[in-house]
Amino acid sequence: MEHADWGTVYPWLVWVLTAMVGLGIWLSARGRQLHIRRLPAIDAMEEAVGRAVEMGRPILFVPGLADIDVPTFQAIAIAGHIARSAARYRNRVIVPVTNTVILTMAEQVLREAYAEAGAGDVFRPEDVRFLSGEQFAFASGVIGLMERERVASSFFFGNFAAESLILAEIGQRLGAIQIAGTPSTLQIPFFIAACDFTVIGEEYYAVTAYLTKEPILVGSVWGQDICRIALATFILAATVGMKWLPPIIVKFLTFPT
Amino acid sequence: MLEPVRNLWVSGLLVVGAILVSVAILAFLHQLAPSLRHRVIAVLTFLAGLYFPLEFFIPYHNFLTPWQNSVADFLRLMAAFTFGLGIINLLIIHGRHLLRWTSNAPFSLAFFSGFLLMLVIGLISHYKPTLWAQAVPKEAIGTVGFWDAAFRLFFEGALQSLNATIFALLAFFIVSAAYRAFRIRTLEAGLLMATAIVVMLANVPIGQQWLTGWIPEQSPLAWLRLEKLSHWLQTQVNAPTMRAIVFGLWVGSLAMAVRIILSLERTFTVGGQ
Amino acid sequence: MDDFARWLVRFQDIDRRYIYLAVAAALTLPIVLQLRMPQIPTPPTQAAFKAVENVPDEKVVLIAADFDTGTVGENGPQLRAVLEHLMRRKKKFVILSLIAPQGVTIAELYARTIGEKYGYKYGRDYVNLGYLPGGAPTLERMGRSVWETFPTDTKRIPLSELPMMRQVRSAQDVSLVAIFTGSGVLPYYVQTFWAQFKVPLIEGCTGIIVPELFPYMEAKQLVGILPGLKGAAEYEALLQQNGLGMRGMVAQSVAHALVIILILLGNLGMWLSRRPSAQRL
Repeated sequence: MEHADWGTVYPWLVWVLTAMVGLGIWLSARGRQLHIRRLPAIDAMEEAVGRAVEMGRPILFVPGLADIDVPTFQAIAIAGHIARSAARYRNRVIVPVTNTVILTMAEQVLREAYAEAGAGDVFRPEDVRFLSGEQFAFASGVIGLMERERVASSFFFGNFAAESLILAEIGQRLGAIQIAGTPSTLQIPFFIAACDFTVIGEEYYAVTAYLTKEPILVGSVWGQDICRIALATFILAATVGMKWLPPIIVKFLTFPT
Repeated sequence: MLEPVRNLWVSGLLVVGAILVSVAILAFLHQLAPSLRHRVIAVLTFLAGLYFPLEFFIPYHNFLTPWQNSVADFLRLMAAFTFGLGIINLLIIHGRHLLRWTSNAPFSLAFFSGFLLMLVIGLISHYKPTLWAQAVPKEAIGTVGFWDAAFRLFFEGALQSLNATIFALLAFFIVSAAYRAFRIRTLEAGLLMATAIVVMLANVPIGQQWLTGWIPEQSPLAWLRLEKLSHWLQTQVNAPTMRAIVFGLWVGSLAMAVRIILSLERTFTVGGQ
Repeated sequence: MDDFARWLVRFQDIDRRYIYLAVAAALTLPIVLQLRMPQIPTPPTQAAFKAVENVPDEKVVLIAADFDTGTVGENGPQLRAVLEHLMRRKKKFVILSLIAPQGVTIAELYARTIGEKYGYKYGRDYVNLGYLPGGAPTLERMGRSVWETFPTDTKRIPLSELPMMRQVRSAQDVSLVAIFTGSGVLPYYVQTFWAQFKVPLIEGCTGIIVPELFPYMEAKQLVGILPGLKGAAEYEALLQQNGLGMRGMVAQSVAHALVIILILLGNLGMWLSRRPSAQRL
């Protein structure tokens, strides 16, 4: 397979960005107060959990077309937080999944979340369900669950494809409070159209930091923002300067083909 | 790198051995104090997470490259084990509904009939296609055996059609969602709607042909032709925005990956209990 | 007048069942009534057409059927149009799929039905290598040696028994890769066929993923795109053929018009209900 070409800027860039994230984590861990701007979608999560409790109906958390990848890990981390909030009010969280590796992971995370909140008896292992590995079989399974359980709040976090709108529209029809966030850029418009709140773009990776205010997470979000500013500056400078730069630097900046 | 073992007995023994070793490791981990267990898991995560970046960043074909297939097989094997857990999860949930005959029992019955039917027919058509059925003569091109036909009936006739049906729901939902969501309450919403209408009209002959089709290609106003406007919007406005969002996302993904490899992501790290 | 305004206000909240009914009618009636509308080919489709037109005789085209029944409505007409073009020009092709086992079956079915018209024969003019999971690493292996990666075709016939495959040994013998998909498989082909083996790529994709493909086209990693059903219809227009794409496009056209009308009605209803005079209605 392909390997890093150290004669270009790209592999170096990865390590520079990693170092920036590391710097953020280090600063935050040493007690530096770092700020994250207000994110209304995440503020609404607690409200959505509370609504479900008031109505005495369960909460649905769909971690998308789960795969063993970073966006899904983030989705499961968010599911843990929702479960912790729900457990405080002794409410159920239903998590349907498409991937059996994620099934075991989600079950463990939820079990721990409920146990931590002292509501281990409320957790039902069958609430973390493997429905199907097939995209649309999974979608129809989730629709069925939403209809039968009359969920009061739905959370859609993770990788989504064409099923995003199918799920969100059904939730909309049921009158559920819906909050979504996905790194699948093509699905963001569908969620915006059918959900009450949508987490867009990089906010997806800031959810856990925002909710917990844990220094390591907050520091990493701060580090990410520094990375973005640095990247944007670098792209702009390289684009403008391309005409005047010597060929050796241009080659260093050009993506290897 | 690792060659497959051809001998049935040896491979059988290896499988049993691997299961016994896994159980022993799990039992050992269970005995450890939570903090120590957490540390062991963190070290293992770090080492496992190191393989792919190292393989990529060490230039050219390096000492880690030949192990790629073996590592990929190992990951597939782990996924295969959990697949069994997925089936057990399904059987427990639906079995309970059936045993207690809850209001969801008919759905569980549908699950069991579909699951068993596909499983049995799939296994027979693959391993013993002549069971209670005639063999298909070799020269009979285009003819399939009974079990193959049964499998196709369920797979292509039922499963694929059901998939397509659920996907087709999207057409209805897109229209109702667009109708509900596209309300001009702010200037931004107005701009969004105007661009959406331009792109939608440009995609169909109504817009291309009737509305702006009369503007000659060579005229200085040719940029007003809907297909040109739409192409400009998609490549010069939409694509850069999407790229910017993707940049932001990948930086977030990188940070998350670093936190996972270094076991700093405590929000879901398993092993605390 | 007030009555009319009051009537219009009701359009801000149309029952979704009426909307579904209208969509069903907008999509089916044009197909049932066989309505026709002309098509203007856009540059991405023209570029794809040109790439197929310029395929040399001695090499084959790789048809990557990475779709299933879910997106056959868009990918199907695209694939049919490209196959029709290839057969008119008497070009040979190889079918495979990286992510969808159903895709190769659908593609072979099309090849068989369209091929009857042009006297195409399996094994001599086209071959179905089947489903090949494993993503880019497997594609790379195939690019280096087709025979090692696929010792047999999808019907388990050894490649040595298929006359056409004797000339197809590696990516050197492939002149163009035509991908048909509704998913993000393009990077696999870009990393292997485009970057390593210098084979040009075209893609027929579903309408929704078109925006994702433009950057590839700007970077010249994609030679041409057939964007959604529209791409199929435009390709048919270039072939001067009246196929599934053209017929489907009329339905899509009417449905788009319906969406625009509904959005305008919804807004009209909302504005009227917000007018001071409407507060009294």
